[in-house]
Amino acid sequence: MNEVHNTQKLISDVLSFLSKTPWEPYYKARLERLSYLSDMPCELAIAGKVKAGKSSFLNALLGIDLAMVGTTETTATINYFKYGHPEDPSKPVMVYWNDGREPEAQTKEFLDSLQGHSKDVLERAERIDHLEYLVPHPILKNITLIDTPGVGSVEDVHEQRTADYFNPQRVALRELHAKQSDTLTEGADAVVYISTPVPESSAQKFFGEYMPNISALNALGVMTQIDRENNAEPEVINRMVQTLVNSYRRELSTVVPVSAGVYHAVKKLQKQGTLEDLQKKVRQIPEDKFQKRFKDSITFLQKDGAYNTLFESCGLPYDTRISMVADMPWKVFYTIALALYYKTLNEAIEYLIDYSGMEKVNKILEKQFFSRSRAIRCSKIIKEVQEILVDLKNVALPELKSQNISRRDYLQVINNSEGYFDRNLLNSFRHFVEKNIPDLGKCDSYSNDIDMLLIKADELRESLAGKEKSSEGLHLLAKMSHLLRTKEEVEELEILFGKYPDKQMPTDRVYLINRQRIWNARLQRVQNNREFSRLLTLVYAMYGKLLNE
Amino acid sequence: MAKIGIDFGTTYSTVSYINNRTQEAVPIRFNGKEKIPTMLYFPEDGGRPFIGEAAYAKYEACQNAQTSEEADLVLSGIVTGLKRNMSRTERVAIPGMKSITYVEAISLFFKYIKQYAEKTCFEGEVVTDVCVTYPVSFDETPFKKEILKEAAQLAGFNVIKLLKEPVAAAMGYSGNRVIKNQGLLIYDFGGGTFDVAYVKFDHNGEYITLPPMGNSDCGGDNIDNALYEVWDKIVYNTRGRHISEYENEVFLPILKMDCMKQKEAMSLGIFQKHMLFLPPCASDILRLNPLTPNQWDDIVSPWIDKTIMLTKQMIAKVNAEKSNGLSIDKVILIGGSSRLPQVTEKLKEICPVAPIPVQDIDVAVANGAAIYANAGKIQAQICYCIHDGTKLRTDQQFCIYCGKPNFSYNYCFDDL
Repeated sequence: MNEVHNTQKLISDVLSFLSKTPWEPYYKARLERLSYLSDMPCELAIAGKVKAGKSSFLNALLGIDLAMVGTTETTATINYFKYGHPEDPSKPVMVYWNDGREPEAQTKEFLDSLQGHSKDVLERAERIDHLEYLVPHPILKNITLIDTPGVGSVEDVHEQRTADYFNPQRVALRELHAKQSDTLTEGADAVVYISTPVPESSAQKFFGEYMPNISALNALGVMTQIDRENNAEPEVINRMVQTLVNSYRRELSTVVPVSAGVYHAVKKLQKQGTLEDLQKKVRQIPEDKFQKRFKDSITFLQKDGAYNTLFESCGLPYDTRISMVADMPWKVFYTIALALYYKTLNEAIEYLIDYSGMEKVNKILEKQFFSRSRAIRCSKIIKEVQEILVDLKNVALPELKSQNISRRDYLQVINNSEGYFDRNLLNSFRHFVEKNIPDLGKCDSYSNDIDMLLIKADELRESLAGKEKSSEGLHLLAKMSHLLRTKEEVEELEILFGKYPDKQMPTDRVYLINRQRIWNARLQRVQNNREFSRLLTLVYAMYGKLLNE
Repeated sequence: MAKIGIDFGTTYSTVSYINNRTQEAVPIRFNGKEKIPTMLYFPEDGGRPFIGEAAYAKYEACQNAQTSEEADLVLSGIVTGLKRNMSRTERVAIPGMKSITYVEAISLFFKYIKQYAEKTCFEGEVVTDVCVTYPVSFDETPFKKEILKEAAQLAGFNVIKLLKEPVAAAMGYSGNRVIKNQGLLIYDFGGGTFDVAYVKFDHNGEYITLPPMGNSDCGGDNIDNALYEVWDKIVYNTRGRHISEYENEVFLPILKMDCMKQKEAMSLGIFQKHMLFLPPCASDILRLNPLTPNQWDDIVSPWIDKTIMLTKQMIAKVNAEKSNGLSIDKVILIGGSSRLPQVTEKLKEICPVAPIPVQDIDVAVANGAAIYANAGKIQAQICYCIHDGTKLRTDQQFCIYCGKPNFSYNYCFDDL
């Protein structure tokens, strides 16, 4: 958030300079607006298949319990979540209509009336542009959440077989949502695309019915409910992830396997302080029995029978076992128990949090997408501030200087007229001139102040330029990777522009010098392609920067 | 006292000085040519760098080498794009596993100019003063102006002045340092970039500069590339191959020599047959029929139209400020590509007054810089420390209160 703070400080410095000059009224409103714009929250759009566990994911990611907020997954509208308090707590949702009517606050019952797929519901949903929820959750101060249920909201194979699915009104609604989602995801600072795991052979099913128009610059794929997969071995999951990453290089910056359930459960147990106790209990089962018998909920939670006797003999009666599992889904409990059994408490927690992938998603969102969006936004704002300063320097200031020279001339004329005109008259002229035209000394100090502010703006922009250049580089690279000679070259440039935050460029000077020279030669050879030249110029500049460190 | 003015351009630079006898600005000829390519070549063996025309010769011809690797070796030692890409935080790799800063690279260029001028124009007398011009857009990024100043200091100049290019053009055109009561629209169509600027000199000689408009990727080079594309298509249709041996690449000797020469010929209205010697080693020779004037127009028009649109916007901006006394009294053309006859034709349609082609279209800016360099002795002036506001003079290198460097220090006060 540093860049936002620095940008606002710069703007306030410019404003305090202007307050000493006659130019303040011309620029004050504009600068204040720029300051306001620099602190806008980043937009995070969530797209994807509805039954993929979006609510649990959002809950784990942002800590917002959507069910408590009042929306339900199957609502067929686009939902915005912004920071604030609803005026009337019984009417928590603001409805924005398609026809531009005044937005109105509505009740939970209204939301309920949007459930299902009957004709009335669809008609009503069609007339709504979006719903807005004001939630006083602090994280929304920095992130505005946009929930787009439209894309692929019907991926149920059974549904596809019913005639209703092909009902023209439903088709129209699906298409409308797809289009709305496209517009939104283009403008959002980050897009998270959610899906349940798909087998390698049907990677295209990851996106459901409509292929959204997203780009790897701001889109992240999330594969949820990895704990529920029947063959949830890490290698299988990783292979799925790799296939998706390879198939969708242009659309997704990466794919992260996630288990919101595990994350949620571990955090809850941590808060309750019962993790250690759980570990003790689980470890009461001897190892051979653990490996053979502790496999599914049927055996573990058997009330009467051979298994019940088995576990009772380990010191875990039925009631204890029920309380161990509590409200966790079986697979979640299983994963946690497994980790607690074989690892130390701290190791287990670390492993489980890592497995859940939530922190990785957070890190990618913040470090890759949001910080880049913020940097670009601040850079644009600073550029406008620079334009204002240059305007002052090249237009307003010379005019003032010219007035000054005139001032000197006027006073000269007045002085020379001593004795020819009434003294009082001359004094009032002199007074008028002196009052209304500032003297030269101030002009020089204005010039210095403007220069100083320009330097500050420049330094600030330099520090952000790296992110701007990387962003442009990645964008061009996605477009023109086919013009590069080998796959290794594509990957080298991807790492150079910071696509993978864990992979860094080598710091060996000889290597960097060599690479810059090679790319320089290539740049000379491809002059006829302006965009490609621009990409290679950025590559050259990035290496130049690395050499400077 | 030997003084010169340097127009540091994206693709070409020019240098002028004031002839003592005639008191007029005269461009300096480097090996017979007024324009020096803004290019450096660092040879593989780490010897002294080639600068200007010598570097360009290497660059033009390198792809006639035996192998692609040899050509790459030469190309990797070429340093161009100094003006476009200059930065404080980036370095330039050169042979010998070394890297230099942009300040150092530009200073090598300036030093070459200085030494050449001393040898040929001033009979060995040391050049002490220089005026370097910069585009108005550098006002937004003061670090670029700093880089120019530092490079000039490193090259050995004592008195360094900076001047905006359109103002220099106005001075070079009028021959005077002080211009009064003139509103000038300056159309600068150069090798790599296009800029249109408006400068208004008022009755006191003070000038205001409106925010300039321009396109950093619109110049003579783009027209060369367009012509190359046309030829490439013809070669592909008749011979089934591209001009270059490699996919998606250009063959520099044809681009830089043939395209440019044909462009200049066609600008003069000469349309004739042309022989293309295709690589490798002229293994195939193709005779091209001359283009028709219409075809040439089609190639050139998109680029000229871009410049015309920007000029229109600039004129509209000026007209919007009519109430503030802004007007266009003269329209002057500078930059090599302004020689295209279509430029004058199209400008006549949109400008309030007919454009005046400057006699020395290539060197007007350098002339203005030379005039400015020779203008009066520099006196110490009041300035303020940018860090703590202490009142200082421009001949003090460091602030007397905080000790940090004085941003407004004028290098002319350095001791030799």
